[in-house]
Amino acid sequence: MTDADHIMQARYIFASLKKLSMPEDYLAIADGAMIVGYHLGNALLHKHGVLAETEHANTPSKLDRPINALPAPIQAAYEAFAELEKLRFDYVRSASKYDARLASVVWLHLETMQRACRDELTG
Amino acid sequence: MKISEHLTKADAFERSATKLDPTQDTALYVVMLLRAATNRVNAALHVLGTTTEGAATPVKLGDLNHTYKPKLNVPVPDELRAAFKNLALIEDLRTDYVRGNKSADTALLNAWRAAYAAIRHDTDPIVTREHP
Repeated sequence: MTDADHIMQARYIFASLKKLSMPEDYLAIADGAMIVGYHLGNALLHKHGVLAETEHANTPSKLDRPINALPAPIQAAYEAFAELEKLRFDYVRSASKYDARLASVVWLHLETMQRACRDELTG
Repeated sequence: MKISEHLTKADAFERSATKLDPTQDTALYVVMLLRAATNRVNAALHVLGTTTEGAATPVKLGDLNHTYKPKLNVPVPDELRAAFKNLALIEDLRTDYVRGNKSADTALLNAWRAAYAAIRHDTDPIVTREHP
C-alpha cells in the first residue's frame, strides 16, 4: 500500500473508532488505536523511504531498528505508536480495568501520529 | 490471564462489535471478532489444562496471542481443533481487511460471523465446566 492508501485507511478506521466510547469500549479503543497507528506509522515509513510500499512493520517492537534510528521527523510519531503498543499490552493482553488515564492518552498518541502525517504528507 | 478475565474481555469485545457496522467498519469489526475469539479459545485451553491461566512455565504455556504464537508445545485438544481452524480463518483476515484495504460483501461477513459463532459453539460448553 502507498503512503496515501495507508492514510486513507487510517482515517476510515479512526472514524470507526469514534463510534465507540470510553469507558465501556476501552478495550476495543485501545486495540483499534493500534490499527490506526499501524497505518499512520507505515505511511510515514514509506514516505521517508524506511520501508518500500511492499513491506510493512506491524508494530514499533517489530521494527528492524530502534526509534531513535528512524528519520528525525517521524521519531515522535513512533514514540507515540510505541506508547499505544504498550497500552495494548497493559490493557488488552493483560488483566485490566478501565482507568481514566487511558481515555486521554489514547487519543493524544493518535493525535501525535496524525499530526506527523499531516506535516509530512500534506505540508 | 485468568479464565474469568478472558471471558470478561471476550464479552466486552462482542459488545463493542455490536456498535459497528460491519460493512462500513470492516477493519475494526474484524479486530473485535479476533479478540473475542482469541479470548474464548484461551479460556477453553486453560479449562482443559492445555495452557495455564497462571504464569507460563517451560512445560506449560500461558496465553496464546494467536493460534501460532507462541506455538503450542502439545497437540491442540480434539475438542478445540475446529475452533483453532475457525480462529485461524479470522486471523487470516488481517492481511487484507485490517492491514490492507479490502472491503467485504455480505456473503463474506456472514462467513466470518459463522466462524465466530462456531468458536462460541465449541468453547462455551468447555468454559462453563468446573475446572481445577
